[in-house]
Amino acid sequence: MTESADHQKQSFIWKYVFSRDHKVIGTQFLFSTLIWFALGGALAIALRIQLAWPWTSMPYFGKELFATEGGQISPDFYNMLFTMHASIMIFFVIIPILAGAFGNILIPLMIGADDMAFPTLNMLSYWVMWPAFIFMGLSFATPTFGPAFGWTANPPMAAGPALTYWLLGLICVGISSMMGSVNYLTTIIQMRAPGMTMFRLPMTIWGMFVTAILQAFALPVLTAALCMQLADNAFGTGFFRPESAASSGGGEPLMWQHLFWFYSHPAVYIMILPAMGMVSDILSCFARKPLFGYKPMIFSISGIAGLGFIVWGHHMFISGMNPWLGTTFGLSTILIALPSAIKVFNWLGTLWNGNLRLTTPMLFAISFVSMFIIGGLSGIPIASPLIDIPLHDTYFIVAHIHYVLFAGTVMGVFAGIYFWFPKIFGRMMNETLGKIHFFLTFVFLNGTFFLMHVLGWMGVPRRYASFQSLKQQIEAGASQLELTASNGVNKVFVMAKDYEQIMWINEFITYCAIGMGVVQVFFVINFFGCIFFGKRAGRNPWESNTLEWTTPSPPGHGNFDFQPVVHRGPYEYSHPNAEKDYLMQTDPPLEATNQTESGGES
Amino acid sequence: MFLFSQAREGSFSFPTQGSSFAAEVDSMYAFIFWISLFFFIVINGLMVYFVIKYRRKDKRLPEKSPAHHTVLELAWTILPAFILVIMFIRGAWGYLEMRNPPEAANAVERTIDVRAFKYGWQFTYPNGDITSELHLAKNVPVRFRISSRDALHSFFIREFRLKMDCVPGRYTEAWVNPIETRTPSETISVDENGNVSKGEKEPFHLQCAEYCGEGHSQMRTEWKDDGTWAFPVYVHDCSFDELTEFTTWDFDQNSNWKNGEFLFKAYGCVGCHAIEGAAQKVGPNFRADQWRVDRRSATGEVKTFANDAEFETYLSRSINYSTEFIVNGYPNQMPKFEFSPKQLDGLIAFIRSPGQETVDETGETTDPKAGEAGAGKEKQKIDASKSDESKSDNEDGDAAKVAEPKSSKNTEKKE
Repeated sequence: MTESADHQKQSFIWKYVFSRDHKVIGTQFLFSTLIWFALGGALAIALRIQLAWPWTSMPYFGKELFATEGGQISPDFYNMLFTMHASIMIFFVIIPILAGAFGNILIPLMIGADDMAFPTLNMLSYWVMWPAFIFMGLSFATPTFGPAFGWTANPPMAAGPALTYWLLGLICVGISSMMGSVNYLTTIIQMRAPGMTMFRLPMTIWGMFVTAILQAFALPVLTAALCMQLADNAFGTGFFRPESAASSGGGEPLMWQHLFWFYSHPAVYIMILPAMGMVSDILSCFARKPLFGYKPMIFSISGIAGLGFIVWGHHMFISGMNPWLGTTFGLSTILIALPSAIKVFNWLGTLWNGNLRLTTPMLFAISFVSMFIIGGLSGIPIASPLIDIPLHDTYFIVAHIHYVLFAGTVMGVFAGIYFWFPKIFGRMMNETLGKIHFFLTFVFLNGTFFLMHVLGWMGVPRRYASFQSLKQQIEAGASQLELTASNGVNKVFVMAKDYEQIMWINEFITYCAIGMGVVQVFFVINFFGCIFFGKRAGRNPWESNTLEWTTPSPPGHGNFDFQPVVHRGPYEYSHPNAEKDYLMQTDPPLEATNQTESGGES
Repeated sequence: MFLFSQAREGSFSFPTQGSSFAAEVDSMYAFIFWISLFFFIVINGLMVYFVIKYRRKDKRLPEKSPAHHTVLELAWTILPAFILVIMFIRGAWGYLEMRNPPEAANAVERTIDVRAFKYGWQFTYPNGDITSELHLAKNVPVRFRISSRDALHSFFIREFRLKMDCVPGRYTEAWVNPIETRTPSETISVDENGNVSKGEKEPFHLQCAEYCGEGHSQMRTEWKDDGTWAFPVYVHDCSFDELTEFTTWDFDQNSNWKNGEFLFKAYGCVGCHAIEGAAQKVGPNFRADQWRVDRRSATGEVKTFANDAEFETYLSRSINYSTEFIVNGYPNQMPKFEFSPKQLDGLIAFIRSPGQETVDETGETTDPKAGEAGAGKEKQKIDASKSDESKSDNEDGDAAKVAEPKSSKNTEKKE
């Protein structure tokens, strides 16, 4: 560990800002993504306010930006809200927090390496995020306050300077993910500690590994498509813009959809597989029991990833594709339910007969499984093209994706933060605040997303600014010049003309969404409070098995103060022959006669 | 969940089953729904049970339990696989039937052109009629040839369980066999005082389902303040050929203003331009008191009009060459049209006095406020009753409008 001695001489800026230490880079990712998470959440609440009380004065956003119109936002502003909410949450929060933050912090620690294979590349993968942050920030400064074309950016509607900034931002995110995925693959394949075979890796690492493969294969396609659209938008080429569009012609809008979804469907698995891995580890640890069906779990995440490449067409069932092609995509999509079901049953089997410690991370992990069932089951009807056709582009889809990504991934991320916080910062998070945070988030998230299924099967389309017309009463005699000068004098909003019966649902959802936003205060207080004032954590506060818990908390540069040698799989909890109810991967082998086949190594 | 079982209009259930395949879609959904509900209850029930039963108790070591169990694992792989295959086969069966038009619909004389644009719909019938209302005949399968003038849109009629993207630069297709009627008289009710209100039923709902821009939420069937439906879907109990009664418009038989009003609706202008004080949409409102008011572009260029003729020239160019002069504050989104001079005359007459037909011989428009309500209601009454009675509606309509000859004279004088 001569390298760590070198690093102690480094100045502050090289140690904490332009660091090549994977833990510092991971922490940088963590803080950046949490800040974007807050912004993305604020946008979501703003758009919920518009949906519940259309065309009324909106607090903050409306008051600041639309002061001349009495705080009433414009339809385009609403479109910007949902566009940026999705873009930020997907590209700036979920993907970088899973791969960037958890991937960076956990991969070397859990496989027994002292750092990533390419530390400088790793540092660059974070610093390339900054141009992305800046481009995304600049896109807010374009007319109508930012991109308003939906996160799918379908040409020919998507155009203008906002699109340019948005595309540049996404290209930078893509480069960052690409650097990260190459690094993760190399590190996991090359730098495992002695004795750490592939089938002794914890599920978290398997999730990261499969995710990195997905990124390495799918991202080039998206990057190429983004560059093509950038050329369309900035230089007037005609890859995606059809003849009828004003600027140029001859392109094919459907090609963009194919290329975009060829990445963005695997991206859904990029956004859930690492969380599934983390949840598997947490469930096993707090059930004090080996993970049920370790190998089937690995095969099922590999199966999900493999199938994930041939299902993108289900996003385009209604784009006019040949019905036989639609049927084929329907088959591959519905097959994904199978490995997902196997995973759920295995998690259930892990809890069975355990000795459950209901800590905060465990509660989040259990709720992940429980909510993932809803998200998974609601995926079955929309995998069948017959039912997808009426449900496509309705609130049913909104409900489905939020049950997978919020009730699934975000709950898994919270579980991961509460679980590894002691390792990252060396202090425990407060359990009471954590449990309050869990219960309130759980209640509010169901209040927010569940009734959206009902809206969906009623046929309520998504991305509608309102079902109430915007009524403009203009005083008689006002000239067109005056009219255009203050676009919208005395706008009066009128009663709902359509879907009157859903207005209470919209209000209810909005109250829950606001509640969900407010209760994150418990998390923020807990998180920042405990960085400074939390109870000091020892090396292994959760009595867990995996390698990261053999290091000091927080680990120094170079991670391990001894060379870890791995003797067994990661899930040897409650081994009948062991003294404690856990056996760390580095613990020396039990006497040969006592070896049993239970546990992950089987 | 209990809501699901109530298949009533207006409750939180599926919309009315308006097409021949809607029942199969709903029953397939119910099939998957009940199986999913079963698994949801079993899995979550077990999980809650485990969490309570196996909660940590002091000093209790967990009983030895296997880390895998081959029989169990095989069971929970094969059983779901079996169910999924059944779901897939049934779904594929229905889907192929839903997507492939039957013989009866797959003919030129049963093909309706659907053209979406920012922000409205336009339907062209086999005989060349153009409307913004979709008129279909009960139990007559029709094929839609769908296209878009500009961005991606999606042709979604929820009661038909029908959705198909409108892709610029290519055609997509869909077909439907409507099995329930929705006539204008069911959807607009007129009481004895001539007050117009929403009928007991709503027309089938056409909604744009693919996000297409600022006016996306206006591209849908909607009840408007002036007592009409925007973009309604009507199903009549008649033969397909008899639909011409609702779709054909005779330009020579009607006044310029009436022609303008018809075009305004048929070409979906109503998607972006409201009239009088109604709801503001993407484009400028048409208001009688905005006649000949100066216009200013975003670049500060101001257009003034010395006389009516100059203003009428400006209007006609703004309709057929919409990108020439964009008024400040409005997006440059209007498609280019190719209206004939006669059609332009009609549109200009309509825009001049959008609230009601002009009656004054001097060429001054009447005060739109005065008598608007009465005249408007009168018109509505006729419109609503028109569709009920068959054939004779043209004569009826003309006879009811005493002011008609005057006004057409009035507009003709200006030409």
